Amino acid sequence: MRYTREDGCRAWLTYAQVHSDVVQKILNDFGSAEAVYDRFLQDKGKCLKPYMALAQIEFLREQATPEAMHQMMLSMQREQMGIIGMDDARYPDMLRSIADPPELLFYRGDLDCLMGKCISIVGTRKAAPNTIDATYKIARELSQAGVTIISGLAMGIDTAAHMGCLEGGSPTVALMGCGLDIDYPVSNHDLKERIVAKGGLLLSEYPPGSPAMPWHFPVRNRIISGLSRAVIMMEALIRSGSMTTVNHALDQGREVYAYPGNIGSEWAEGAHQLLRDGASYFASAKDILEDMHWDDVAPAPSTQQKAALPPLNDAQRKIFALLNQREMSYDELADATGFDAPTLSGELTMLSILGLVKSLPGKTFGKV
Amino acid sequence: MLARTLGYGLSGVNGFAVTVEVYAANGIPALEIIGLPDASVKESRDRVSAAIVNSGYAMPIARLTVNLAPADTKKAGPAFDLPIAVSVLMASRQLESMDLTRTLLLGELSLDGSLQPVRGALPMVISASEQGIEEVILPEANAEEVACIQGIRVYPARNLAQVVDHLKGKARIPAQIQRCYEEILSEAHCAVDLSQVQGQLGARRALEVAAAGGHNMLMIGVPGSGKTMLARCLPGILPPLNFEEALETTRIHSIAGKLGAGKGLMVTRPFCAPHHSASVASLIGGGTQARPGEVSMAHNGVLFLDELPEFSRNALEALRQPLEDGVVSVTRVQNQAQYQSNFMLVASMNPCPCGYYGSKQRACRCSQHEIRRYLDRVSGPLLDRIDIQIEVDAVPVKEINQSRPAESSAVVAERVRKARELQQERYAQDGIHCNAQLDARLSKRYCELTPEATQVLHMAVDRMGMSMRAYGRVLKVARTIADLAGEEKIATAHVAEAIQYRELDGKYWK
Repeated sequence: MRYTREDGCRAWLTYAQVHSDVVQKILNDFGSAEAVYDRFLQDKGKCLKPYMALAQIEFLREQATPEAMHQMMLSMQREQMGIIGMDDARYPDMLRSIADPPELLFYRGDLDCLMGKCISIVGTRKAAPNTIDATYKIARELSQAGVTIISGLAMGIDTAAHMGCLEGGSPTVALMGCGLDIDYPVSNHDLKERIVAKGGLLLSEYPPGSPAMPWHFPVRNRIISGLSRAVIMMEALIRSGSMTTVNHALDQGREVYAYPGNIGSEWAEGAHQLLRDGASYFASAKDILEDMHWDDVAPAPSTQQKAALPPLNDAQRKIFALLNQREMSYDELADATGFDAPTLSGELTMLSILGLVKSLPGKTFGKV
Repeated sequence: MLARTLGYGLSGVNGFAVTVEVYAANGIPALEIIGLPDASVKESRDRVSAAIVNSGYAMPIARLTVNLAPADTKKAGPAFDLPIAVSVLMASRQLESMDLTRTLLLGELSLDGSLQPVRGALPMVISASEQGIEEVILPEANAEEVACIQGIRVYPARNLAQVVDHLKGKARIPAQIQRCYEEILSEAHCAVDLSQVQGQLGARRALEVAAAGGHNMLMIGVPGSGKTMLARCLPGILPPLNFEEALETTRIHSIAGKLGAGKGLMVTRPFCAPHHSASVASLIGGGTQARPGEVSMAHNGVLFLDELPEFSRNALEALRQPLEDGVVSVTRVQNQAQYQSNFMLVASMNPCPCGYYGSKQRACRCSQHEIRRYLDRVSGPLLDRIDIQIEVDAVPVKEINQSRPAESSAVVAERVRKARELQQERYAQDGIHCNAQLDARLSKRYCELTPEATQVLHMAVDRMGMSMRAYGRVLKVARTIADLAGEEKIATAHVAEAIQYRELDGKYWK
């Protein structure tokens, strides 16, 4: 990756963390980021006083030393980070049209992902195991239909969405709330690398080295919804970051889908409120694809997967028939089938080896 | 005047002979004990003088020196009260001089002269019997404990006066009738019976398999799913202790003073459930006297660790050696002892910090990170020693009343016994006695799979993400399941069932 001096100066300007309108005004008034930087060094920041608070000028001053600039460029080089400004032709039009698009984005990976059909999936970090499963599945199916999934690289729903998309074969895009060189959450380091390796994209409006701050995330959420045609809300509290994404989406005129959860669970209330307010309901990827008029593009690959069942013995068929209806606990299965423990355990193993049944937390089994 | 009697002290699980000599000299009346006595032995002085006076004898007006030989070994405990008192009476000629070097005297005196039970009576009497002592006089409350020991006459006494009358020949104490082990064994019963456990079909079967092969077991489940109750059933379905095992176990409990007055030989397998705040020393053994810890108290029985992740890391890591070797060496500056610790480890834990991950009754809201951190408190090497890992789900209330009638412990115990007999026969040459002890070399020899079973196992490794380490565990458990079925070769059904007991590998520890 090669950088011009202008690139470096633009990256430097992001350390002020001011609104994109202000950045645009500064650039208009000075002509270029380079010019701002040079003037800044000459008059020790006085030139920016009309535009921002003293504290923000102080941020810039700390970052303006040659050593700090050198460090910044080094980490950008190391992480293969690119810079894309609003004046760049590759800057996504979808994003440009929102109320406050980021003036500059740092990226790593393939920018072309954003050209395709993009849908974002959002939800809580503390998701129920069932919802995680559902998220993974929906992301995989959409991905198989050629949809790019955008999410926030957090734990829980976000992780499931990215993983499902990777499994389905399409690239996935992660919007980060910190510098691209920072691993947050640390446990998703591997996922981050896999996203890039599989042709996906990492995006952030925060310069290299910026730690993840709590207020970064709601701000970043406007980009998640801004980049996508539709937002899918899986599960969240009514007062939560995921709901801010949905609100941004509504402001930006994006479609909103909500995944219905358990009635009575406060964690499903976010989605339920959306459904009440007119969000679209969906039960499978097909619903969304039809709704978005994307169903003609890719054939649903799930049909070919449904091959004939492998030969099962009587006991296995009995168990599978029960699990086909609903998830059941071990004891329920024993009661319903009348099998003793050795038989039941053995046949359950055989069914999971055949890939028909999986074991779930809480000594429960369900069909795959 | 010099008098000499015989007492016994304790060193680890063995007793050692202590000669108690008393010399009455002219001088200012006093009673001095020498020979490295500890505080409880020194206090003997006051107990003995009060007991002598209150038993109708007189404390001699002389300067008495009590010597406990060998003089260079520390003596502890109040068991020397009786030999000291008898020696004092002899030295003061209130009891005619006689040879008591082949008669062991054991007992703590209370101020009114009655005899109190002592800690470690069983190991002391066993050692005495091995060293050719012919008779022993001890407190009545300890009599039951030593009732099975061969080759030594036991005279249980109630108080000092009775002992003196017995020695004088005035009123002999009837010798205790020796009891045979089978007779005691028939009185054994376990507090919790498996028939009291409702539902839990899978867990009951896992318990049976664990008992049949001596496998360690981990139960993961939501609070109130009955993990503790299941574990408590285990002693009842394990084969009964044989005589040697009963002696070993009772010995350790006797040393620790946990036997209880009037209790005889232990015939049910011990069940130890230390609280999770337990220190390393309390689990493994320690203290200045190098006393046995919980792992030894559970020797030949079950060590149950409830809330496994709440135990301190150090305590859990310290379990690894006794789990491996079946013996612990407790070493302190003053003392060191080796205690056997051949126990079955049964652990239980919640699936996550709040306890309800995967529950149908209550939603869990622990983040993946919190769950991860909770589970990581149990180290890999420890998990590695646990063959059977199962999930236990809570039984819904409506099912508690209407589930099928459950099998009783006795029925299960019978199957377990047969499987164990098969194993003992098979491993007679190999120095092990159950499937859990199979190492890699032996399992290659004994865990022969049918071709179809091999195929199933390989498919499980491929498709279910089972590790090679889990593979070895599955083989051993499958061997046990085949033994329960009474079959020589391990068939597909056995392997398939065994794989169910590794389900946690994929779900929790990925």
